[in-house]
Amino acid sequence: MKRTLPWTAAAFAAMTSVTAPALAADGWLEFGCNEIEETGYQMVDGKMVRQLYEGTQFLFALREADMTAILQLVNNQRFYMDCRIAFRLAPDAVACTDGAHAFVIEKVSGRFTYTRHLGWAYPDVRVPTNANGDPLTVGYGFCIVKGGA
Amino acid sequence: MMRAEPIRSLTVTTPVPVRCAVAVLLAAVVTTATAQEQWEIYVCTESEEAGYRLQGDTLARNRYEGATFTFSLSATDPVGTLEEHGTGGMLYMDCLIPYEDKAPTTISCTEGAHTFVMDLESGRFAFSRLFGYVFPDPITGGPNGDAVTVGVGLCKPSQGI
Repeated sequence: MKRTLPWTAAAFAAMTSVTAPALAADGWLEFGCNEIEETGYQMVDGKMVRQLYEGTQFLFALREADMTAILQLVNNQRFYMDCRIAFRLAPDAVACTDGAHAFVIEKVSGRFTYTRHLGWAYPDVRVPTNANGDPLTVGYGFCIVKGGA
Repeated sequence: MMRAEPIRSLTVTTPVPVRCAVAVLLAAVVTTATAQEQWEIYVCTESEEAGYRLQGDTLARNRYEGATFTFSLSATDPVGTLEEHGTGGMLYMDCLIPYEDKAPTTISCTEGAHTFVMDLESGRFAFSRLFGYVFPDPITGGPNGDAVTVGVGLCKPSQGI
């Protein structure tokens, strides 16, 4: 059974309502992204257990001038990322990360893959010797250009 | 009978450019040796990986056996290398500490489509491979057939090179 990630909120259609003015400014290539599914692991009773999650929706804005990006969840939480061309033979594929999240998108097709690395490796803030209980996931989906450049 | 020239004589008569080259070579050897001592080396074992792989036109969920690899972290620069055992592939990664205030011992290293996050205290790591699906297949132009995965495991400091 698919679980719902704690940060998942609204439907894909609701994304337009969270578009921030900064994301719509000139120079940003803006996508609305629909994740189909996520799989991964989460700590349950002290063990990492494989989990399956519903996909989430988010905005992704890329500024190619300085290869920076913002990934914005439906709850308005933002991740500020640095990007690079991931593979020279695929110049339309851009890989972005803020250290804890990684996002790779092929701009022409809109296909993306996305991981959240917050779980497991990061210590529990209350008991630093323990792993924290956040999910550690990988997901995939597609993005649609919303406007911009 | 000719006597062999003393070594001192050779040294004196060696042209300046040659001596410079030798000096540079020696400096390079010393620098390399020093640099090797400044790498922290870990042997990492993934317990398993979860993810997706293309089957037909859709991605199917899969579970994979974990890999083993060697992770080396520079003690002087924010870079690391990751060498997967058995494949010979080497990733050259840029590293940072995403949350210096809350998790100062957890590093994150990336090489484009691969991200490696590790807590240097506990050795816990997560490793994602985002190459599959998203990059275009060189023949069809559609999604490629490589896997998209995230794995978990533990790293232990290596006992030496």
